[in-house]
Amino acid sequence: MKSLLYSSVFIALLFTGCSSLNNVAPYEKEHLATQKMLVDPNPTQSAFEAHVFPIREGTFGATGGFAGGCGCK
Amino acid sequence: MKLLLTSLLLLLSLHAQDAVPFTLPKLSDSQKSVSMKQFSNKTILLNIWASWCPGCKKEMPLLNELKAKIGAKNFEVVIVNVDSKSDKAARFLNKLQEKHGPLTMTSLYDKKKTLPKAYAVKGLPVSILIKNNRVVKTYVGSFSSNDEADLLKDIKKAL
Repeated sequence: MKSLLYSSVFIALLFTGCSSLNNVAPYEKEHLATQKMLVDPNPTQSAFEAHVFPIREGTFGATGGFAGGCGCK
Repeated sequence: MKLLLTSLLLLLSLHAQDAVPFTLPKLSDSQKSVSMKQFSNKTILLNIWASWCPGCKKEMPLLNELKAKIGAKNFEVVIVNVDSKSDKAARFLNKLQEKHGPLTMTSLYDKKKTLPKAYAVKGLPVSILIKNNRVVKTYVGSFSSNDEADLLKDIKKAL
């Protein structure tokens, strides 16, 4: 029981260190603003692939933007 | 008592913030420094920007045209770059000059980011209108063509 308590306290203290991670000043976001940090770093290539894929595979969807019902690919 | 406290708080809030003094190297020539004392008799629009900030780059042509539009000798636009390396900023300003004509702004480089830290900047770009070493007004975010009229009005009022 004691070891469980101590380990809980330890883990809680460990995660309090993470609370400083969201305090990035706006003028310090240089490395967060790079191309490779974008969710889609190469939109031109993604658009091309999104066009080629359904033609080649004979199917479409599963890209997150298609709200199909049951059984749709 | 309540009235006295309210009046006191109101007076304190109206008290203009002192501008942060600076001595920073020029972006184009790191051997030459510019101090805020050189602008002591002028009204300045201090703009803090970065080359990785799209809004900062978008408003640059507008800032470059401000001095001509104001037409006053005692007004200056001072832009302070806070990139970790100055080369991208310098390249951007060269392209700006090619497209929009010569730079009318004083361009400085603050590698250690002393000014944004001192002003506790909440976003980029930020423009600070300063007169007689006092902050008149702070603008967070980039200026669009819609904001130009209000900005010109504020500057002329401060002159």
